[in-house]
Amino acid sequence: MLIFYLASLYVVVPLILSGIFDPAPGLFRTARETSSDAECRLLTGEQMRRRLSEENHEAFPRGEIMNEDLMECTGRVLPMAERRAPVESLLSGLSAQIPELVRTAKLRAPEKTLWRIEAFHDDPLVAEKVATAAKTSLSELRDSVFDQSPVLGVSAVAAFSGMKITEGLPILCREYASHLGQNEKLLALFQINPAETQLHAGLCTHTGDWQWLL
Amino acid sequence: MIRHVLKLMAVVASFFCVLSAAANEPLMPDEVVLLEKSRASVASELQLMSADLLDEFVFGLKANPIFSTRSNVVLAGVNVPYGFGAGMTAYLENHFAELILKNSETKMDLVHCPECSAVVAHSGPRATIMGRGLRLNEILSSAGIGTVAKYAIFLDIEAEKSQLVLRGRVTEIRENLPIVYARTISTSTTSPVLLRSAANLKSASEARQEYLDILRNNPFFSFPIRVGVHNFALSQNTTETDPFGRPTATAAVVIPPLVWFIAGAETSFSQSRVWTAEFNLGITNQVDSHDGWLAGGRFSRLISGRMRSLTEPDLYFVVGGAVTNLRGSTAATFRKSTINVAEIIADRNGTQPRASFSSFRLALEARVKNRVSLSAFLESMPAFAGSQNFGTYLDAGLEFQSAGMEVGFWF
Repeated sequence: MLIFYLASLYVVVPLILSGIFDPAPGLFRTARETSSDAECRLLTGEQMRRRLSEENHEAFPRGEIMNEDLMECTGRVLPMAERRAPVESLLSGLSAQIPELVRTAKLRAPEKTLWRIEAFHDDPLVAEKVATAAKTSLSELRDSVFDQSPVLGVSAVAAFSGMKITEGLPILCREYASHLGQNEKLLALFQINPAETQLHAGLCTHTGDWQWLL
Repeated sequence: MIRHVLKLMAVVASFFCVLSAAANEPLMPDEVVLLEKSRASVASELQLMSADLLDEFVFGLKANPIFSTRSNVVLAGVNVPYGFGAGMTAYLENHFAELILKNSETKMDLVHCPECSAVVAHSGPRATIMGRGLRLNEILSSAGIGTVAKYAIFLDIEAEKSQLVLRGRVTEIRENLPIVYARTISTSTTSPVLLRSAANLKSASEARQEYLDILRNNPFFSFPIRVGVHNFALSQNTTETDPFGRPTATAAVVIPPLVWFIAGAETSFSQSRVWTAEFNLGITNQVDSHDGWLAGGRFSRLISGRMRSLTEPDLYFVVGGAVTNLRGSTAATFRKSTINVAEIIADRNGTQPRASFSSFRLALEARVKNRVSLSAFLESMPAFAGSQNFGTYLDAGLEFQSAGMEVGFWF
């Protein structure tokens, strides 16, 4: 019985002590409190050592009693509940996702391609932000980018809006083709499922060929 | 044993369940009020961060202008973070316009173009199309937008986790709007907003250094003025005895306290201000009693931290020394022997006593930034060691005959 209580003490006391200072959800913080104002990541061993040495943390001469993790937290610009979760996750990942998609598109296109960008989303504001990120990213890579994307007729847009995006985009590409010059390609960015956080991309050429990228 | 461990785990798990259930409860009215306050705080912080990004963007345009000659530019769009409205858009448009107006080195002249952002419909032989003026080639040519301005600038600001990202691009106003310049910059919530002046834009590093200098108030020299009171320990004259023959402690000479006004120049050896050095001059005057001057110096060592705090008071340990010259009746007491009748008569005849001596000081000084300080000190005057005129506050091999306090103001 004594061994049980000693073991409990060994588990519970460090748990409580670490919980008091731990910014992650746990005994002393609910998930709401944590997720609303901090963006946390677990540091790797090397990052942890560097950070501790910066703060002049001195290790115990006989080593630490327990293996500890170090979590680095920075405040979010906007609390988590400020925007709808799918929009939040999509917009929060623009800087991470767009350069990757742009690089993939560049690999599939000749060197002197003239780019046009179109983004599809239920919310036009979100679509504009996605397109803006792609245009800026491509331009920063010194590619020639047109800010205007082809404007389709009202009837073509109405027909497309009734289709699934995976079926509609290859058809829409044929409509776009008549607006694209010989060296031009249209990079389309979209989500297949409104609930997903991943962006997908496809390429449309002036011949009306549709190519799935990601 | 295993059973007990499982029980303990069950207790901990149930505790977490209770916490998570509490987290899913609907918001109470006071929580809604708190949430609104929090939103207002976030919005104001966001405005400052956005303005900071615009400052950096325009500083880039100023340092490396896009155009070789002055060009008319339309501010065609400012997109604020998703979820924020027209108020913030207007604020950022105005801030950007102010920056461009006050920084002519960007070689941009902002022009007004309502047709550029208005939603218009155009019916052509192929189709009827709708869109914003700049987006439609047909409108570009028919409305003559290209004659008003040659270029259009688009700004987009978005919050991405702990980063606020500005994406700016400049397009040429002609068919298809080719992008001629694009730049992405970001700032983090961990970086303080720099609040740069629009008229005198600096780089982020320069502005940050300036900001830190102001916070630390760290010019090479600072000029303290101190007012101090020096008290002198009473001498213990044991020549008198009480009726039982026991020696009584009676002050043979009472030296009045000296009030000093001291002005100096202080410098520090590093930005952290762990060590500082000061040279100072002081005067004292009391009508019909004394006047005098002192010249001294002191070294201070910060003992309350590794560097001077920007927000909390600091504590310094001070070692210093001074040479003092006094004139007047008080000066007659600054000697080893007791004052005699001849000296009192000489003083009354107009020959004023004089005293010159050196002193060494140990002090503790509490200082709030470089604004005010309060110090308590003990002072030793080796020339008067063993003097019948002075007692001691502390005898640690070196006699400390004087103690006092000083209040300092920095300029």
